[in-house]
Amino acid sequence: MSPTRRQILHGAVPTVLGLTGCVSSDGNESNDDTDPSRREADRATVENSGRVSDPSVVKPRNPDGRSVVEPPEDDFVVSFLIGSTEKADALQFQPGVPSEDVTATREFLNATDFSEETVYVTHIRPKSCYQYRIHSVSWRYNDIEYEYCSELRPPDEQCAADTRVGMALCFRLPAVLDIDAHSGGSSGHFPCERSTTDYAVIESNATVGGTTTTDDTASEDR
Amino acid sequence: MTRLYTRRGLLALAAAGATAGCLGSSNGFWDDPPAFDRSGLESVTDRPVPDRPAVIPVTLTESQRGDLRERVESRLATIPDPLTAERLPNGTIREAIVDHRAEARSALEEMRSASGTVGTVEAAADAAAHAGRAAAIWAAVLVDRSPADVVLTNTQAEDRVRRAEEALPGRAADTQSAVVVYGALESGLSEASHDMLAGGTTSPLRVGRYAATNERAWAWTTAAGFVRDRYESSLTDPEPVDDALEEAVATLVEPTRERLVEFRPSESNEKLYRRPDRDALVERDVRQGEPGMALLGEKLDEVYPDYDLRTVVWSDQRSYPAYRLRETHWVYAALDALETVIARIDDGADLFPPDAATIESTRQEAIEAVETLVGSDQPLDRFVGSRLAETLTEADDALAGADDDIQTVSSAHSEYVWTRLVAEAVPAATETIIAAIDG
Repeated sequence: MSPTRRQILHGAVPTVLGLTGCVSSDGNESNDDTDPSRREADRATVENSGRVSDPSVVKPRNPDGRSVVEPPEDDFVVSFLIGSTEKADALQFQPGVPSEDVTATREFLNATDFSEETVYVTHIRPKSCYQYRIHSVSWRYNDIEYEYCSELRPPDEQCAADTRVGMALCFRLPAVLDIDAHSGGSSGHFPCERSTTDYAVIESNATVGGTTTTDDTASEDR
Repeated sequence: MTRLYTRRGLLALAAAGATAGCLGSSNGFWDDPPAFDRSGLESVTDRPVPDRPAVIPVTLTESQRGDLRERVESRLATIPDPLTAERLPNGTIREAIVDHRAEARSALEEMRSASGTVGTVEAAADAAAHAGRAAAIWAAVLVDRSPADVVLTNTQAEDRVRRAEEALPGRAADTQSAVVVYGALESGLSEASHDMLAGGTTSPLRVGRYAATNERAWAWTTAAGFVRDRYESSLTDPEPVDDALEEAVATLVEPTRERLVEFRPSESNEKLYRRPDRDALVERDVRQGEPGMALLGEKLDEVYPDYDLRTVVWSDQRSYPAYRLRETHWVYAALDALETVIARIDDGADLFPPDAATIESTRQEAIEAVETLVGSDQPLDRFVGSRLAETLTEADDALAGADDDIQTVSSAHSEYVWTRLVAEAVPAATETIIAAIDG
C-alpha cells in the first residue's frame, strides 16, 4: 500500500534507503520505466526522507544557456516540485528549447502518476560538450540532493567548446512530497568511472551528417 | 553544495605549485609600498647578460633533426586539415585537436630556431607530445582507427625508455662532463617516464594525454641515442663513467642528508626531503608582503619541485645517476643561497630596492658572478652559469615590461639578488661533487 501524504509528511512509516528506480532518456543504461511491478516497488513505504538509485530522469537542454522551463507560480527559483497533472500541464518551456526535448519532457510528465509520485526539477548550467549521468537522488525534509558524474559527450554530437547550456534535471521521485524544495545540492565527480559511452563513432573518410543542427537533446544526453 | 574532485583539478593544483617560482607571482605585496626612485630605471639592463655556454658540446646532424621532425609531421598528417564541425561536431574534441596541432607546429618552429642541442631536443619533444596528442584524439573518435595505430602504446613507450636508460650513460671526456651531458638526457627521460599513465580509458581527451607522454618519450629516447653517439664520436679518448657516477652517488648520500639536517636542524628524517614551511624558517616578525619573503617562498618552490627533493641523491637509488648528481650540485648551491636570504630577512632586510641605482648595482654583481661561472673550466660551473644566465634574461624581460608596476620591479631585483647568491655558492658545490667523484 502506498503511503498517504499525511504519512509521508509526518514520518509515520520507516525510511527505505536504496530504492531501485528506473532510468529514462539516459543513454545505454538499462531501464524499464513502464514495468508496473518495479514502480510499485519504488513506491514502497517512504517517509519524509528517502533515496533512489538510478532514478528516472529526463534532461532537457536549452542551448542558449538560459533556464529550460519557467518555474511555477512565477517564483524566481532554480528548483521546484511538480506534484499534480495540472501543474505539469502548466509548465512553460523557454523559447529555444529544442522541440524533441520538450516532447521528451512532456512524455515523462505524462507517464508520472502524481497520486503516488512527484517530479523534482532543478536547473544547472553544464558545459555544452559534457553530459551528466545521475547515480541517485535523495530527499530529507526540505533538502533534495543528487549524485552524478559528468563526462565528455560523443564526438558526433554537435556542441560548442567553452560554452554553457541550460539544463533541467527532472527526477521522478516515488513519493508524494509536499515540501519546500528550494534548497538542495549535488555531489559528483569527473569523469565517470566505467563509462559505456562509445567515442569511436566517426568514419575517417565520411562527413558526419546526423546531429549537426540540434545542439543538445534530452535523448542524446548519454 | 556541489563537490567536484577531478584529476584535472589536482593536476592544476600541482601545476600551480610547480610554476610558483615565476616572477611576480603569488606571495603577495604591500598595498602601500615604500617610495621608489625610478631615475635611470630604463638603463638598468644596458649591460648584456653573458652568453649561455652550450650544455651539450655537440649538435645533432641535419639527418637526426629530420628524423625528429618527420615523426611530428607524420603524426599531424593523419588529421584532416582543416578539421571542420561537419567532420567532427563535438567542439571540445575538435578544438583540442586543432589547438594541439597548432602547438606542435609552433614547437617545430622553435626547434628550427633553438640555439643549443638541449633546446633543440626539448622543442622536438614538445612538438612530438602535441602532435601525438592531436593524432591520438582524432584516432580515438574514428571507427576504423585506434590510437595505437598512430602513437606509441604505454608498453612500447615504457620499453623504449627502459632501453634508453640502459644505454646511458655513454662514455665521456671525464666524469664531471658526464654529469652535465648525460644529466640533460636523463632529465628528459625522467620527464618522459615519470607520468606514464595507466590505460583503460576511452575518453578521447584522456587518451590524448597519455599519448602526449608516450610520444614525448619517443622523442627523448630517440634523441638520447643521437646525442650519445655524437658526443662520444667527438671525443679523442672517451672514458667509461658508469662506475664513477654510481660511486659518486653512493658517496654523496650521507653528506647530502647531513647538509639537509644543517639547513633544518629540528626536522625529522622523514620530512628532511620535503619542502619546508617558508614562515617557519624565519625568526623575525615579518610584515605581510615583504619582497624578501616572496623571494624565499618562490625559491623554496624551485628547490623543492613538487614539494620534495626527489631529484637529489638519497639511499637505494639506481636510476639517473648523472641527473641526480647534477641536481644535487644545484641544491647544495641553492641551500647556501636560501640560508643567506633567511639570514638577511632575520637581520631586518626586506629586500625592497629603494631606487633604480640599487637594482643596477645588484644586477651588475649578479652578472659578474655569472660571468665567472660561464668562464670556468669546470663543466658544472658552466652548466649553472647557463641556467643563471637564463634567470637574468627572464628578470630583464620582466623589468622591461614592468612599466610602473613596482611589484614586478621589486621581483626582478630579487631575482638579481638570488642569481648572485647562487652563483657565488656554486664553486663550493662543485668542489663537493668533484670530491665525491674523486672518491
